[in-house]
Amino acid sequence: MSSPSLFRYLVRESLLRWGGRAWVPLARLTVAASLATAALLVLASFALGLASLRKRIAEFGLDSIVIRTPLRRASDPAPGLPSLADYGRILTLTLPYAAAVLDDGRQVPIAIAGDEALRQLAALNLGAGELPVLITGAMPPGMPVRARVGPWSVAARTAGAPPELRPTGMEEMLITRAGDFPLHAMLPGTAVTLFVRAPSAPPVAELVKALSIVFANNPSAGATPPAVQSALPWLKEAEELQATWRKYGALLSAMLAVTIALVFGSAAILEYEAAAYLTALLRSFGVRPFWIWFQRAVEAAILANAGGAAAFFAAAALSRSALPQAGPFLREAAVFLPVFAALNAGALAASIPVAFALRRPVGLVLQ
Amino acid sequence: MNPAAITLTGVAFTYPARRARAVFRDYSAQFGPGVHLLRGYSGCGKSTLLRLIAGYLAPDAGEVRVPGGRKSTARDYQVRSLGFVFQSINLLEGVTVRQNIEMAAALGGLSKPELRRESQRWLETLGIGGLGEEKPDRLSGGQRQRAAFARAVVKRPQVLLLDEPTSGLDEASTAALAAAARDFQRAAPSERIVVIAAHDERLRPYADHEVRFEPHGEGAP
Repeated sequence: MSSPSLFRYLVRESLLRWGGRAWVPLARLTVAASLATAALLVLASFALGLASLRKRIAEFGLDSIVIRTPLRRASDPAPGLPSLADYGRILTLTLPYAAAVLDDGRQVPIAIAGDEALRQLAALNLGAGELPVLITGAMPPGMPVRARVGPWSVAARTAGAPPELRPTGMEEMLITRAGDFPLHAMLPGTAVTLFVRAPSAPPVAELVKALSIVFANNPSAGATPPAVQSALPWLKEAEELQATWRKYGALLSAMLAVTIALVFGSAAILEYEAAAYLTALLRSFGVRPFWIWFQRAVEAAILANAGGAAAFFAAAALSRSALPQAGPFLREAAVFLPVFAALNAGALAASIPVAFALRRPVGLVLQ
Repeated sequence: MNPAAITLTGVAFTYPARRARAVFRDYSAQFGPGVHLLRGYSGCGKSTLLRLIAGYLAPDAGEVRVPGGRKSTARDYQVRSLGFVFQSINLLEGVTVRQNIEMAAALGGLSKPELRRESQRWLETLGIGGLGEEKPDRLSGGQRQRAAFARAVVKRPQVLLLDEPTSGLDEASTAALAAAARDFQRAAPSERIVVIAAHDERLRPYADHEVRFEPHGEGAP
């Protein structure tokens, strides 16, 4: 049995009750907001960590492998990886332990490109025929620069870093031909081999495993073995982080729901008992207990969601000063949905004691 | 069994908190159309009887039938055919007297124009026609009780139960309320049943039947 006048009354009754004892709803709102703020920040931190890992994986490329081989001399040939060439594209640059100095005083590493590398670089539209090239994001492409290495100096021009070279992790480098700095080619260095897997090739994990076996079985006497780098460790880290997020997210949501249920439930039953006579009177008119329970459940949901909304703004304000990168992640569904779901589950659970109290016969209340 | 009457058959009832003291044990009675005045010592169970008739309490044993042969706990009866005036807490706070009346009556199925007309008529009959827009906390005890009476009768219930309705009221308020209860019954004399539980001697002239209430529960002196 319901009527618009009943709904109007229930709304008015809620407002009057809240207005009469404002600290009761305010306390509930504050508890919900405080707990939700903490939960939102924790979950946003997880999201931030995962996003930064994903960004690193995307930049490196799921199909890329970087092999760094220490060389006694930068002019030594890079290690032969003939079978790897069957499975994708290979680009090897040699980095002597020396840096070129630009006109503005900045130092950039030198990368020496062999003939094969020149062919590969040509495909990247760097103008490989016009080496040396200064790969940099700090200057517009096509600008002339001068680079000095000791008494030698070369004229180069700038080019933007192609995405294909990102896995090397070098944001700036001066790519030169072998012979541009002949003396420095005699210095020790590192051969950086960038491999990009072809779609039909075996998975990167298998290739990395095979490479590790090859390097382990063919140690160069006294030399440090090559280091193989791929996105696999980050993928594993991302999976572990996701699992931790799920675990602690669920735990946090459960704790939030239980706390809200206990705090809201206690307040709700105290409020209910304080107005039990009026509620019973209302029921004596024929109002179904369901509507009174519904009123209390809606009240709890309003306070919980208002607390959640306040928490959202509080977390955004806090993250601006404490953890600026986490702010945008507050808007991610995986961050705010569990918090709001927990708040609403807690609010719903908080109305259960009222449902039990409403089972008491009207005649026992109105004695 | 008279289908137009309230019939209690073999009713037993004990309050859960007072298990050792039964209010009723095998109590039977019948209330037909008319105004019944229930009298008895304090705590003898008059109010409990009204609550059993209203269906606000369910008997531990036996049954309470109301007009139409329905059980007293039937929802339809409680919503449409029953009016109850409690001794003290009667009106919802925060809403006006008129809203109090109209809300209860709307639940009882009255249309809006009918509801407006009836509530105003009853407020005027009871001498509080100008208080419809007042909040209950601005009313005196007598005015509140009359407003509660208006709320109970506006939906024209077949059964009207009044629990100590005149306790603490002055002569004028008592007379106004008692006369209104009698007139309400007289408007449909073969259908309406009014049961008043009261100590108040002043109500005796308005009753058709006076019942000396002795349910023989263990609480009886």
